[in-house]
Amino acid sequence: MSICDVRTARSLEEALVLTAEGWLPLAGGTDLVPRMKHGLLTGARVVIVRGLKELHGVHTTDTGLVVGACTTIADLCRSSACPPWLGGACAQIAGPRVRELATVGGALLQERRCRYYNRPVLWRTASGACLRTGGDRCLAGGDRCCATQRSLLSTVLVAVSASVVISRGAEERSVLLEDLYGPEAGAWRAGGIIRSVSISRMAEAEGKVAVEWIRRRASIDYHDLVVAGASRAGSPHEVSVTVGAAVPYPRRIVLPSPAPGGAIRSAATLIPSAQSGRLSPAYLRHAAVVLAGRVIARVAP
Amino acid sequence: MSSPPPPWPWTDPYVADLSLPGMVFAAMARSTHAHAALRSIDLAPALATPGVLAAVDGRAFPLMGGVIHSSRDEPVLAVDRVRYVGEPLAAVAAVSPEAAKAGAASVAAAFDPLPPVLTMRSVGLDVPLHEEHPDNVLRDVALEFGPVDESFASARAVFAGTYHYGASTHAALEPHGVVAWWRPEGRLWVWTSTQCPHLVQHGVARLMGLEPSAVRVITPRVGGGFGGKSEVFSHEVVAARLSMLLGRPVRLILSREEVFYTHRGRHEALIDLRLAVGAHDEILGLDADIILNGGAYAGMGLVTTYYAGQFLGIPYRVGAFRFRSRRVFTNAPPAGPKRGHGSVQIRFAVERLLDRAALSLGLNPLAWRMSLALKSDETTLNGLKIGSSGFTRCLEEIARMTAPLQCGEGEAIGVAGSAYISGAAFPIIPNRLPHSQAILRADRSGLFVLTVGVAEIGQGALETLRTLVAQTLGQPTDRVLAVAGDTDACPVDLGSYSSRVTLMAGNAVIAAAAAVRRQLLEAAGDRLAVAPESLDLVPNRVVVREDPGGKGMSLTRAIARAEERIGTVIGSGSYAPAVEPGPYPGGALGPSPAFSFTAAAAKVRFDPDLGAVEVTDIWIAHDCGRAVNLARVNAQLHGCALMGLGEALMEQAGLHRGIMDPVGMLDYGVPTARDLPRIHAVVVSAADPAGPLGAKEAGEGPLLPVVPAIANAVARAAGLDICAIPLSSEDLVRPSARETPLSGEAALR
Repeated sequence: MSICDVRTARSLEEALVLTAEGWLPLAGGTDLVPRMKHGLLTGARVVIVRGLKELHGVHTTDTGLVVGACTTIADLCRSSACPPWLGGACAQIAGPRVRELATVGGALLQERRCRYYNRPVLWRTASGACLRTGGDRCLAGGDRCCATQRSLLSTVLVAVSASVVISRGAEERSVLLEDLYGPEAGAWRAGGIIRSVSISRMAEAEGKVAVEWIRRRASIDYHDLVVAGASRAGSPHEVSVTVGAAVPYPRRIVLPSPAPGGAIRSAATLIPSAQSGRLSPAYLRHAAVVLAGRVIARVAP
Repeated sequence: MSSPPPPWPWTDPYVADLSLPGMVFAAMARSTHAHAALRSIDLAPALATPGVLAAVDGRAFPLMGGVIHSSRDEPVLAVDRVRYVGEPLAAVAAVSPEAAKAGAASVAAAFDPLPPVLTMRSVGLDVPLHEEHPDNVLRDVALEFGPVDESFASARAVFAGTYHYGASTHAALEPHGVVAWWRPEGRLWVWTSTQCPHLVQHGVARLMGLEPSAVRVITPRVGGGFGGKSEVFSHEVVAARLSMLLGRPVRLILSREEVFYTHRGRHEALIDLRLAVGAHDEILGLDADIILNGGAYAGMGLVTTYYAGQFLGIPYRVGAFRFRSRRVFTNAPPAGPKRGHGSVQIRFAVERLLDRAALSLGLNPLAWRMSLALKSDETTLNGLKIGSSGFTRCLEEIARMTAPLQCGEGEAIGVAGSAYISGAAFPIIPNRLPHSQAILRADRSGLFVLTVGVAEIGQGALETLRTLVAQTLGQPTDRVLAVAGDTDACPVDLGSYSSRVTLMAGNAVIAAAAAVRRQLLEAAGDRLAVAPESLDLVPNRVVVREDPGGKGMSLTRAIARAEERIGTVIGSGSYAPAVEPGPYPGGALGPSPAFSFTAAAAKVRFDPDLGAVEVTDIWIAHDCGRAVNLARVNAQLHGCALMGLGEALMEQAGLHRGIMDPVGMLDYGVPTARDLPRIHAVVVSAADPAGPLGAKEAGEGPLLPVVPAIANAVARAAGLDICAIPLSSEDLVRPSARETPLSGEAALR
């Protein structure tokens, strides 16, 4: 593995000093370590934050649920505070062994993946460089990177309007997860560490969240497409659909009542026209519409 | 003795665990071009890398590799041309694996790219990969049996289809790896993860310019093969050369990515097939044109080329058939034998077309197959002597298990049938020598030590062979130890491939056990003053058969008496099939001492909006002759169901942009435990006189009908003609659904 330095943080403060200097935080390592093995992080400096107690735990509060960023997916599933819809979704992430290592924060910051990028050195050398590895074009076609974040958890948490608390140096901010993937918050989080995820109580209501997905195998594989539907308790006319895994980052669409059809179909247009995974954009767009219809049927009042 | 016997006592279980004094580590440099002239290669940068001790390139190996004499076309390391991405260019030995990798990465090679051949569909139109094959066809085989044209002319119905079977790979959990040690006394010891230790012994010796007697090959535990470890590989030879250069043991373990480049998996196949059905619903004729994507080198492709056509008809009675089978060179990693070698692709095509015909003619697909089934002692048109056939009973079992089932909306059941060899009747290298040999020694302690040349690759071969000895001697299986996988210690066996071990090594083992049994009974009879024929062996004792509670003696005492009488109590056995080749060119490729038969059914649930397939149940009924070890046979049936499911729905190993894709287990879709359907396995016993105690094969044949059974079920559930494997949701999605317009797309871009 081509990394030049590894340290284990003894405190959150130390970790924040190091990340401010460009060190990469490593928690579960299930995303970072394979990229290191593939030579995609040459020269990277890594600070291990997994042991920091401040970043662990699942707690209920007056307003909802707070999950420490270094809580593993498996621990979240096992927590009695974890609502069934969230536990059920988490049980679909990777496989049992990965879930014991992978963390909630890591799942939310998972690097975007692509069939041309997440490859060993020899394969990439043979195929040529892409935009992310120093080339001047996307190997899937076009002049924009078509890589997508294949995270089921981020899709589901965007669907329920979850927010994250980020520390950077002495600063701390709470950011809507969906905005974390936008340019402004995205730039700010660089050099910081996600401390926790907050899920408001109104999103915890049973039956208000539905998730459908396309995945080749029922375990291990990254999801090809995730579509999550959510409705807000107390305002039953607000139904949203969030598309993930097949898009750069999860995108949430609030469906207008009384005619949501156009918006449902628009979910499909979020999918890039270049193929970054095993399935074609045409199929994924079709499947997004099908799955959106299914999740809406489950969450709509 | 309740605990199982210990493994053959080499230091550690797998090659990658071996650690020898002074051992160094090797890594390989590989081509990043699919097709190019190799203008130059410079090892100096590698040799200058810290920790690097030695490096070799293709100039160190003047001979070409290849299993089959007539098609040795593969350099150990590329010399003047590379023919696929991942082809070995050079190898580097260093003090650590990291230094070896750094050295391999610094090997400087210059290439002049050539147009790559990326598809077999343009056969004959591309740049030749090998000068001796200007049309890029390794072998063009055409054979005809019976009046094919007449059968089609007189048919009441003719059906035709074009079928594509995608390439797949073995995905054995243990990667290929080797430790080679050129020892001070001038002998080479090679520990390698192989299915064929004696083949590697002779292959490495030839490529190294050594006598076979100078090479000892040892197989520690092998973590699966499925056909992918049945050739002599580049890494085995270069590790040997590096060890010879350094005088130190060299370990070379392939990464998972390198295993995918090493490949030798299932050939991609394109099959044009015609079927003629007669007035009485009999198969009048079959006519197949088969193109196989062989990748860059020949390997065992000659066998694949013949098998694809020779097994066209079985397990059915066919009036006439012909085939043209061509194996084509492309710039892909070489294809080779994978479980069900050569048969899986053609079985998919035939079983699909049969199902289409059944639907069209209003025939029950299962009952029709029963009416077509080959029976015991039949001989096929191409001279395959069937021996025992339990195929009808297999189909009856499938009917019994599936008949009560109801299918809901989107659900359907498909069936298929197959037959497979229990070992090839003729060796790859023509000769009259035994295919298998065994030595059994009775120890004074009451143990029996069996020595055989087969490789235990996780399939339970040694347990089965021990069981055969135990049953022949009337003793518990744990009284029998097995020593295997060492060419110095064990007699020759051709290897663990072609489903040959149970039948061939089993017959040799039984012969050896029978000899020991005879020696023990003669010694006991002599001491007891009883005719040996009236004695019997029971657990731990020799008894008089008609009076087991009467006079007799303990087993250990009988062994001691035999030693007094004849010295070491030892028996040997060997086996060579008593089978004649077909009287035509290529007639040696296809015959077997016995054929297994299988029927399978699959139930699927189909989602037309997404084109998604869920296999809920697989039924397999397999005729393995007499099941020597029922638990092992059942395990094979389950394993075949799993592999068939993977090939049907998830696994594909082809080229993408001229590069093997995928190259990792995350991307290659071996089914997980959560993907498994309910598997219902039934063993049908049709004891074969050619098999040891009546046994036939069980490791490969059960895979064959699983894929077409799934395809047939999907075809019925979806109302589509399934012509390609693996099934793709993109192809299966309901056309009307796929055409759904997407409003607002432009506005949101």
